[in-house]
Amino acid sequence: MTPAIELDNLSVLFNGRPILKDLNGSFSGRAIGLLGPNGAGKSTLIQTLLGFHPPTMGSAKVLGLDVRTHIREIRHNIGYMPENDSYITAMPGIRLVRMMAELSGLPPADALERAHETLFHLGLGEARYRDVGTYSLGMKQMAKLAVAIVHGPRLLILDEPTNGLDAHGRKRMLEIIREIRGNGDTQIILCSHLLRDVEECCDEVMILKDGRLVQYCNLEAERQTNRKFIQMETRGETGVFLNQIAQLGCELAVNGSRKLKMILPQTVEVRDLYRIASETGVQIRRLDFKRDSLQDIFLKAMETTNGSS
Amino acid sequence: MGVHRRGHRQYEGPRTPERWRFWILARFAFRQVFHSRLLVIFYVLCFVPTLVSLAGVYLSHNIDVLMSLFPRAARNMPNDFELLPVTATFFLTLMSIQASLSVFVTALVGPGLVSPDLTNNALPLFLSRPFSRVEYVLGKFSVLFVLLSLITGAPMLLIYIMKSSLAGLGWFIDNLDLAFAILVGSVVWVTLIALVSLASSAWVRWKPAAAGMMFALFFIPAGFGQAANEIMLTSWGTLLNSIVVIGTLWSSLFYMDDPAGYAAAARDLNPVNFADPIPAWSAWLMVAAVCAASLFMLNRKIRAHEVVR
Repeated sequence: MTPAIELDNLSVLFNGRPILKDLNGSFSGRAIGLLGPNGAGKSTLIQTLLGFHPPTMGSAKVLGLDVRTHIREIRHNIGYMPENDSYITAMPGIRLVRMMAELSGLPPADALERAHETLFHLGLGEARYRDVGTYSLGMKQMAKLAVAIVHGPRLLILDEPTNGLDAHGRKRMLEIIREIRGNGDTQIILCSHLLRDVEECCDEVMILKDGRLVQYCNLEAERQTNRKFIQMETRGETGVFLNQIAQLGCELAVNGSRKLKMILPQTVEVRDLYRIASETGVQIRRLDFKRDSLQDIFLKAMETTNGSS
Repeated sequence: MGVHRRGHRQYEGPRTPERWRFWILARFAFRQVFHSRLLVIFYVLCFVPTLVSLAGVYLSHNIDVLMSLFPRAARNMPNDFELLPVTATFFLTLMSIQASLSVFVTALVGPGLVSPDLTNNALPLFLSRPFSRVEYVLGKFSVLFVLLSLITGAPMLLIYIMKSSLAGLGWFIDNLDLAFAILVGSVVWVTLIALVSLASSAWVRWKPAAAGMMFALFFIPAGFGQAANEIMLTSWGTLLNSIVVIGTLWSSLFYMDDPAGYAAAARDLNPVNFADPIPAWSAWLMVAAVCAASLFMLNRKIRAHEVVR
């Protein structure tokens, strides 16, 4: 898959004040999470990728195209959902979405057809002839998403898409994001302060702090790794059980007589443990995969005072 | 498949040429603009002076029709009587009437063009597409340019063409300088007023205030200019009087080959207590400076987002 973004010593300064500092990396996941505390530079990074700010030093590429030289081509392939309220209130939803599709280069007939499709798909079919100003907050968020995806972009940049949504609206928004990711055609950059949203939707995460990239994490790989680290609680005589597990190549640590921690080799599956337990008459009362949650990763990254990319 | 059954998909179809994409904004704006019944009524009334003039020109060449209606008056009519002489003075007078009407149209339309986009933070939606700031301004500008041209330059050229068709090819050729003056004079006027209106719409986000500012710009600086003239015993303060400035500019165009006519027109424009009317070049410079200032103001405001410094 083409890298969605490639950063090469990217720095952005406003009035001589550095906002982004020497960002490096290539990110090609289907959904890339962008995390960081307020003022970390997330929005500036997004705006640089959209060509709103020129890079002061270094370079940034989006879908293989340099933001300095190919910004129009980049914008043809990008859909952007801004964080703040951003719409034309005195315009019906269908006209707003259609106009934005036309501005992205779609002929009027195609733009109208896709505007209808998109609004229906996002649950605004019945409200599409109403002025956007009369929409509820959740509907406005969906209208912003409709504007971002109507022209079928290859890269979708979502800035706090679940802002202000109730539980149902948030669930629906995340479902749609996962669905778009699942289509395989569109890559997503999801900027959110809600770690749960990023964890549910993204397979790569970049964490910014003070304008620097302090942590890059491939969540998918992390999940795979963590699946092999197991904590277990048992009942019964465990001597033979532990022997047989050790023979499989597992690293074991016994804590008391009932609690075990182990790292499974790649060839061993959890069902092997159940089989051995059954054969040796041991009851497995509890079995947990140790999981370094995104929150742990984020907090660790925040503790890094002099982060480096 | 019905549109409501389709999900998100990429767009693979043709794209429209980028050169004329600014016109999309104008197309959508026209629909919005003519929603106002007040504007439609006023806009139709703006054609009344033109229709009266057209009728006058027609009757001038078909004096028999008029004489049959008023036989007693016809008996006392001199042989070389011309009901409506189509001269530089005629066009200059009509231009002044139409320009005055165009100020009201601008005050009704202009404030609704840029300020709602800024108030609703809609610029990121436009500018994250393959659509530049220049195209945005051009799109909004073309709304006013078309609307105002249709009530200033276009009807006057229509009168010129009608007069030519009635008076013959000789009149058409002899008075080509009038057609040039109409064309350039109306383009300069429409450009000036459209840019000032867009700039005030960008800086004053409350629509009624932006409309009021249009009129204020005509009268308040003129007052300051008058005061400057009185205090400093000069006539350069007249440059702040936009009515005199544009009148001088038009006079310089309509009386290009008639210095005596220009001098008379310039005297008429200037207040009686000043001996020296402002020179034509200073009026041109002033108009260019106001246009440049308006573009500068637009450049400061038409941005995808505001940089917090």
